[in-house]
Amino acid sequence: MRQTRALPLFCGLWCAACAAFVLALMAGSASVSPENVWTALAGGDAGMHGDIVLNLRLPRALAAFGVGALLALAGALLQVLLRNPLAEPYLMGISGGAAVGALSMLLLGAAIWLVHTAAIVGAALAVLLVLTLARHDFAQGAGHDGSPRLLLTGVIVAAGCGAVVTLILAIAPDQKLRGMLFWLMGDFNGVDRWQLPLGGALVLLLLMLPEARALNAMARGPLAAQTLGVNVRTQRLRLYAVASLATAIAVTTAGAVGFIGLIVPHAMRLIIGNDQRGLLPVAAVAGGTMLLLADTLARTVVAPVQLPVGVVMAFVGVPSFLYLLLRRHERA
Amino acid sequence: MNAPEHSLARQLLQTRALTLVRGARELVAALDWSVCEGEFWCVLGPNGVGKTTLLHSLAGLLPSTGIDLQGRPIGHWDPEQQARLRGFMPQQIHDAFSASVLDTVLLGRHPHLGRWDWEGAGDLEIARQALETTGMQALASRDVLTLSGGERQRVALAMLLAQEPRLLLLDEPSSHQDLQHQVKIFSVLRGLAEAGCALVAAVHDINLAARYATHALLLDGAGGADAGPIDIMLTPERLSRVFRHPVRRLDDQGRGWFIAD
Repeated sequence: MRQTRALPLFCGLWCAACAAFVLALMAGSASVSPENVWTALAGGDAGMHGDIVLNLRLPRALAAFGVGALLALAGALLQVLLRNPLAEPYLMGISGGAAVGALSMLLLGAAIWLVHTAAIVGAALAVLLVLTLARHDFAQGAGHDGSPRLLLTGVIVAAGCGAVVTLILAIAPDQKLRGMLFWLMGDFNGVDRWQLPLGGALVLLLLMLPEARALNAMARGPLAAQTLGVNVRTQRLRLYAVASLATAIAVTTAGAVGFIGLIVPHAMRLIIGNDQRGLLPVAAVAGGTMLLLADTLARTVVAPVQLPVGVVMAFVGVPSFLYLLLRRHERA
Repeated sequence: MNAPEHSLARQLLQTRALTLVRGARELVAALDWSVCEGEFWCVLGPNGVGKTTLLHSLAGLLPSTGIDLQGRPIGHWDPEQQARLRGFMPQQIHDAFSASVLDTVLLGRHPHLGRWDWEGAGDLEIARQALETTGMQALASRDVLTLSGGERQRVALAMLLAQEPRLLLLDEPSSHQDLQHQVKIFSVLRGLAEAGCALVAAVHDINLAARYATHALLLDGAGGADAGPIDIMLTPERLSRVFRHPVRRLDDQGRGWFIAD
């Protein structure tokens, strides 16, 4: 049914993504002409501009696109798992766990690879903690809607991590605070690892697409899904695992960039409906494009100062989300 | 009970010593019961005797042993196979997301579609037919979140019809319906039974059951269950005992009507 509406949007979004990439490669402290961008990408000799495009801007742009896609995908999946259109990737404490890990290492003044590793370990511990605490809600059959309790468990774990983060910020010496705040707000400054976020987004999306129609049934509740032949228990675990992995990769790449995971799936759902077969790919491309544009804005708007991308996302995100929310209220 | 009079080939559902426990209470004790094609069973009993629990068990939503589908234990079927044979309509539906009525009904085709299939013209035709049968065709493009309780319930029935199961389990299928639609829904269900489906419905309206069902299962909530053809089961004496309230039968135009005294 929705195939007809998802496909044009999907193609349009890819065009927007290409435009966003060109813009990201051109804009910056040294402005590069479109011809030079093309020459550099095509492997020609564009001199110093070629270096800037290929070694500085391209990896960062690819990483931003991958992280945006991961967060939008994770948000869309968690919204199905929790059957709540306001669910978002950080609700379940994954970013909180990663933040505790990363900030502890920043506090100790550890090397940057240790900060990354600790973020991964922290995210994994948060996932394991929620899984252990909510194991009954995952294991229960379809006769029982575990999503409210699962949601509460995640929210409480996130709150606990938030308290530890605040404690670390309170005791951290002043010169370390800036780095910590940038990590918390999400920042692509110096990020050059694009392979994992981009590859992760692609693999996780391809992993979920075959299940997309079953997810449509899951969104109608466990009773409906089970009686339509969906194995609710397996799907719940799969949803949680994939959403957690996507969030963990995103957070450990660029810190806790907010709003993408909440707004993008929500906005796309308003346009093409809640058919996951269309929604998941569309949300991933839209999330990537949006974060890429936000990052380009973050490093150019008050250049040479670079803003954390999370701040730009919040400035864009808060009003657009309120608009969507109020518009929906008026319709109903 | 009535199992021996049917041949095994036509039997869709069978319980063998099925026991259902909720908390400390035994709702159903060692129930031996079978449902065959062409039968329309209504499950009657006061609130809290286990009608929904029984239906959930039969629908595979609660882990239980002693339930066979077409002579094969429920645990030996994979979920999709079960969904092609058996459908369930719950008592209440909570929608979390917007969706059109037609898309909701089309979801009923899920067990018939392969992993990469999209709903085709045939599925669309089945869904539209189901909407027409339930009197919802005019609302096909409406958002389910804007429907009334009765309309939403008929969408759920349309989704069950689009699933095309041979065994239909329904939990109070007309609880939110006005008079006209109560009669309409029950005549649709009766029509399905006459076309060879088997139906089990939890019902509170004894008179609808008396008029449309072919068999009745009476639950007393203390483990006791009585099953049999509707004319034998629906007597003032049995109903008064099961509902713990005196029930009288009035006769009009050759039909018996049951009222609470």
